Amino acid sequence: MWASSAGNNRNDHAHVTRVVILLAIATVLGLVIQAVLRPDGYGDGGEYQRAVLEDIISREPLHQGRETCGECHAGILQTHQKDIHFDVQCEDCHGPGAEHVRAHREGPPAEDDPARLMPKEYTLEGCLFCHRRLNSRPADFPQIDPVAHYEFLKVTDPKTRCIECHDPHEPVFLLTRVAEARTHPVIYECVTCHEKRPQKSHHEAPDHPVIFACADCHQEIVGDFAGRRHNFMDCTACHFFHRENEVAGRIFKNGNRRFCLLCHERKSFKDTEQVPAIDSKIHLDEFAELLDLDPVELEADPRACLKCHLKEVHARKLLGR
Amino acid sequence: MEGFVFPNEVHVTWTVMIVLYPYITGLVAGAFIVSSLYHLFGIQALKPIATFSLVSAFVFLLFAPLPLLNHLGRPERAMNIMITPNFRSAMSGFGFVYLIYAVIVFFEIWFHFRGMMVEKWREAAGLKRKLLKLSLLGSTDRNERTDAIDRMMVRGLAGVGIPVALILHGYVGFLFGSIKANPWWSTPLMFIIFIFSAIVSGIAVLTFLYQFVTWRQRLPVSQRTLNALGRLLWAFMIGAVSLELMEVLSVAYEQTERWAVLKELIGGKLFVSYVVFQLFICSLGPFLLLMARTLLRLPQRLANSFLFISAALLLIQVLLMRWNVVIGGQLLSKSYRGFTSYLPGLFDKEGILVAGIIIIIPFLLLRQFDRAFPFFGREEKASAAGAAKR
Repeated sequence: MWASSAGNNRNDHAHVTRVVILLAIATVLGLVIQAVLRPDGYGDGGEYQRAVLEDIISREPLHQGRETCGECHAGILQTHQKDIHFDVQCEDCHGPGAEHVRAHREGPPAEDDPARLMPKEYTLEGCLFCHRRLNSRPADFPQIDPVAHYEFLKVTDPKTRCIECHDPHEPVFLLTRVAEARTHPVIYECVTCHEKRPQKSHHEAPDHPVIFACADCHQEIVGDFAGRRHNFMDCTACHFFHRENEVAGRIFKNGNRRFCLLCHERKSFKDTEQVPAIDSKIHLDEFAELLDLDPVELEADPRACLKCHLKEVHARKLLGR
Repeated sequence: MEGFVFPNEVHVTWTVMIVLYPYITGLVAGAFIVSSLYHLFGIQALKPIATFSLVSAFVFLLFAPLPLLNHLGRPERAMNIMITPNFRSAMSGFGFVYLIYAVIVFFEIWFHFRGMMVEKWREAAGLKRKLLKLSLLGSTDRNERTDAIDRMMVRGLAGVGIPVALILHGYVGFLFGSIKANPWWSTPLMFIIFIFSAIVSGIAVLTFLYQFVTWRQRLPVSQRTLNALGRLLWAFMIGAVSLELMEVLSVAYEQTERWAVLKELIGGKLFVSYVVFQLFICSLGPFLLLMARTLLRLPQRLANSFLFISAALLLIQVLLMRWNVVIGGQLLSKSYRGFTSYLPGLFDKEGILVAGIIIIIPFLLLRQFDRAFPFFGREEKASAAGAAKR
C-alpha cells in the first residue's frame, strides 16, 4: 500500500529531524535579528534605551513658547495676554510651532508649504477638552455642560461652534487686562473679614455662613441686583473669579460691549424671540444719532452698552461711578 | 457621564477592539483544548471535529493580534516587543507566549495533515508539486511508521500546547486581574474566569459551526459528537458562570468600599448588558436548555436545536462577558463616585463595522481551508481515497 521506504527506520524520522533543524535555524536567526536590530544600550539601566536620552536631549524642541509666537504675531499675543486665556500657551491649540517658525525664518514660505499656516483647534471637542463641566474640576474653573449652555443662550443649532461667539484669543472680552484685575481674598480664616479673631467659633454664631456667597459681603449690591432684569444670572456669570493661590485670586469686573454681545448679538443660530438681540452696528448708529454722539467713537468705546443699559444690571450709585 | 469623574476618565481608552482581543484568544484556547481532548485524552466522540477545532484554533490565533494592531496603530512597531523585550511586563510577555503557541499549533496541524499533503504531492505536478514538497520540508516519505510518528508528534504537541494555551489566555485575564486600582477587575480569580469562559466560547463556536456547516452542506452529523459537545458545554458553562457569580458574590459579601460603586455599576450602567443579557438570557437560558437536553429524553431534532441555540447564546454570553469586564471597568471613576459612558461608533476606526470585519475574517479563512483540506470526517475519506488509489 505505501509507496516508499516502508520499514526504513532511519528515514522515518527524517521529517521530524527537519522540523527540529528548521526550528533551531529559526531560533538562531531570531536571536541574530534581535541582536542586529536591538538598539545600542538597550537594557543597560533597565528595559529602555539609555542612548535615546542623549538623542532626545540633542533634538530641537518642537514647542516654541508664546514669546516666539509674539515675535511675529504681537497684536494677537497682546490681545491673548489681556484676556482670560492668558495662561494658555498658543501651541496648546495650534500644535507645535517649530516647523512654522523655521519656514518663516528661512524666508516667505511657498503657498503650498504646509508649515505656512498653523492648524487651528476650533472643534467643539477641542474647547470642551478643558471646559466640559466635570464635578472633579475646580469649581471656579470656567466649565459648561454644552446642552445647558446652549439652552441658556437659546442656541437652536447644537452643532454651533464655540468660536461663533467666543474668540479663542479673547474668549470673554474682558474690560480690563487680566493683570489689572483686582485681587480678591479667598475667605478661609476669621481675620479675612473680622478685624480681630473672634472669641467664639463660627459654629456658635447664629446664621454664620460656612461657604461664603457674594451677598455675605456685598449685601447692598446683591440686594439691588435682585430687582434688576438680569437677576436670573449668577454674579460670576460676569464677574469671573480666577483663583491664583491658596489665599487669593482675581475678580474680573466685566462690562465690555463685546461681552454683552455674547448673549445679545443677533445670530442665525439663536432664538432671538427669547433673548433680546441686536445688530450691533445698526443699534449703535441709531443711538449715536439719537444721543447726538459720534458713531465711530461710540463703536470704539468698550463701555458703549453700559451708557444706556447699566440699569439692567446695577444701580450706578452703588458702583462708585 | 454621572457623578464625580476625573478628567482623564471621561474618555474610554480601551475600546471594543480590546473587547474582541480576549474574545478571539478565548476562541483559540477553547478550540485548542477541544482538539486536545481527542488528540491527547482520546475522547473518541470528538473525533469528527478534532481536526476542525485544531485548524480553527490556528486561524483564530492568526487574527488574535489584529484588534490590538488596529487599536494601537503603527503596526510596523509591533515586532519591537520581541526586539527589545521587557520580561517584567505582562503585556510584553504576550509576544513570546503568542509566538511559542503559534509554532506549537502550526506544527501540530502540519504533522496532522502531513499524510494528506504527501498524497496531494504525489498526485500534483509542476509548480504545485514543488510547493507541496517545499511545505513538506522535502520529506515525502509516508508509511505506517511515519504516520505513527506523526500521530505521536500531534499528541506530544497537544500536551505541550494545553499549558501554553492556558497561559496565553490566562495572561489576558491576569492583565485585568492585576490592575489593582480598578475595583471591577482586581481579583486573582480573573484569569481562571477568563480560562473557563474561553473554553466555553471554544466549545460553543465549534458546536455552532459543526451544526451549521453539516446542515448547510447536507453532511452526515455524528449524534455522539453532538451529545459529547452538549455535555462538555453544559459542564464548562456551569463552571464559568459559577466562577463569575462567586467573584461578584465574594465582593458583595466583603462589603468593602468598592462594593458601593460596583453595586451601582451592576444595577445601572451594566444592568442591561450584564444582568439582563449576560446572566439571564445568555447564561440561564443555555443552562436550562442544556440541562433539559442532557437530563430529559427529548426528540433528537429538538435536542439538537436546543444545543444549537445554546451554543449561539453562549457565544454571545462570552462576548458580553468580555464587554462587561473591559468596558465596565472603565465606566466607573477611580473616585468611586461617578461613571462615564461609552458607545462605539458605527464607522469609527475602532467601531462596530471594523469589529464585525475582524471577527468575520477568521471564519472566511476557515471556509478556504475547508476547500483545501475538508473537515468533519471528509478529510479521512480524502486521505484514504488517495492512499487506496495506489
